[in-house]
Amino acid sequence: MTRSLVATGKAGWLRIRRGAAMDVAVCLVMCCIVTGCAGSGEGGASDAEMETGPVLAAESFLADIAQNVAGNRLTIQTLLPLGADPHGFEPTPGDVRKVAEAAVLIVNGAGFEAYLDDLLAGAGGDRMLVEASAGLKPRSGPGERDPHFWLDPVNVKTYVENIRRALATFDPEGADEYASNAATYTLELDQLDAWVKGQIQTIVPERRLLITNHDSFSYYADRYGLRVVGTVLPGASTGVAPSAQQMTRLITDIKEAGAPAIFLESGANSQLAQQIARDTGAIIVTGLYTHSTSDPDGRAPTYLDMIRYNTIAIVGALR
Amino acid sequence: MSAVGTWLTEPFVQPFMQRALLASLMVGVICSVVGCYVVLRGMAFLGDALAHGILPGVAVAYLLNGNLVVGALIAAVAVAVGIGLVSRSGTVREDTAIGIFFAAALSLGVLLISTIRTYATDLTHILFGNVLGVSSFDLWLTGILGVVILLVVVLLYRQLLVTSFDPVFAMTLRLRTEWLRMLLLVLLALTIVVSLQTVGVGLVVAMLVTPGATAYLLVRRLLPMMTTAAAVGAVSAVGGLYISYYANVASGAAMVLVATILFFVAFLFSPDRGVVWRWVRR
Repeated sequence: MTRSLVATGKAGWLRIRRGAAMDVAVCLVMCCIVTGCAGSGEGGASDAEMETGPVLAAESFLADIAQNVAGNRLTIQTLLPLGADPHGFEPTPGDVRKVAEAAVLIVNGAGFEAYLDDLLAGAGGDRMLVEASAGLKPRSGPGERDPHFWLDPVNVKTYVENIRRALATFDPEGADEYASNAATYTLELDQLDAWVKGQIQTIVPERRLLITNHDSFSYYADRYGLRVVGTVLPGASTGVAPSAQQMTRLITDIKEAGAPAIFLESGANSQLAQQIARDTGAIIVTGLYTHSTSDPDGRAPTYLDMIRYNTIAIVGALR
Repeated sequence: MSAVGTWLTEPFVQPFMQRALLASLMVGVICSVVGCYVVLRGMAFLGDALAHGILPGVAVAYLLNGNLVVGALIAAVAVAVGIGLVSRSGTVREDTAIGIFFAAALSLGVLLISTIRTYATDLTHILFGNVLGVSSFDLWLTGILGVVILLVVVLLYRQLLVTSFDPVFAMTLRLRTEWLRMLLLVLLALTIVVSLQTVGVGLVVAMLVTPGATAYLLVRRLLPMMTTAAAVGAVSAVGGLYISYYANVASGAAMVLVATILFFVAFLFSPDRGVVWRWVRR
């Protein structure tokens, strides 16, 4: 119980830091600690299960997807704090302990959790490691594998199946419930997919152009017929800065394609993007949810909300 | 336009490269001029300490959603003044005081940053610098602080000169040596913060020391040394930016390496002190 209080308190703190008013911060943190606890059981897990959950998911969106499969039988805990950048994440001793205590650890895989090997070595012991993206084919492109499968809801159906299979192995008695939950959630993913398709259709084809902070929207773009003109940071990680030539090429590409907007994920450094926007006349749309859900009373507390929020932001800027 | 002309102008067609050029030129000149005192008074360690001492200020500014450069400025001046005060009476040697403050500030910064668990890209940015992301605000700040720094150096030229070379004479002139030393520390702190956006913490010391050291090999008197150093700094900045553009490498590091090459050229071939000439004369 105490643990979950600490976790939600922190989530509130992170959210506040993004806002400007520091004087109300303390008050807000207190509010979050008091109210956040009730809202934190995303899948509606009972209070009895709020102690150290046996199933841990690396990122918040994975935990939400897994919670939808687990239903009321299990509480899925999240390793990374809300809003954290998985590309640059460094585990604290508390994180290592969380992993050490977990019986199941769900990760995205495909190299997304670069910290994973060290973390597992540090935690020691044995646990079931579930790679949610297992079986999905990374898109062929130059350089590194792109792990951002989940931004395409159709890929998440594979996530759901991998998670369902793992949970059924971990807790065979719940297998039927997990199967029925997974079927329901898969249906929701199909509906989401159809909705996004319809939304993107409302953008005129010449303006279906994306510029993103780093290469995270490729699967989404492939699925819905958008073209990624370029990315501010080269590559699929947030940890690299562009060279002068790369910036020049990006600016030329943006001008040639007439791309109307640069999309940044929440928390991204907008310094380079601002200079690029200034030189190209593109607008900047911030706050897209790519690597984390928002806090429970934020704009995208679940995975489905993340995709909906991003789609509305993209359509709004391009239409 | 000729091929060479195109080669020279092509990188600066983009406005962001123009801003980068302006920023690195200013930083190259300011660092080099202040760097002459760093070289002459043996303050290289202090420069390094101040560069790292900005960390807690940056972290606090980030936590409070304030301007990172302003945070860095406050922290650097605080560390400079702290070192100055502790080593004032002579009970603690200056390099000891630097060691204490430098490590303490760095630790405080690391500790504060470890509490930040969201994106810390802003912080890595200020630590490593990125001249390509320089905004108009950064340019103005660099320009204004640069003018202030150079103005102080020019106006107090004689006083700083005397305290640097002849402390005893400075005493007999009743110059406030302690006050001047503190002022120099603050100047150094300002210079470092101004340069952070361009070359980053790790390389700022090189931009402070290398042009000054190069100039010291070529000329004797302080004023020509300052102008020579400024020229070396400017050439390094522009040369580094070209190399960075055409070879597709990090710009701050390229600038520092150009300065280093110039230093070695001077070290080997300086008319007075060049190693090669001395060897030939022997």
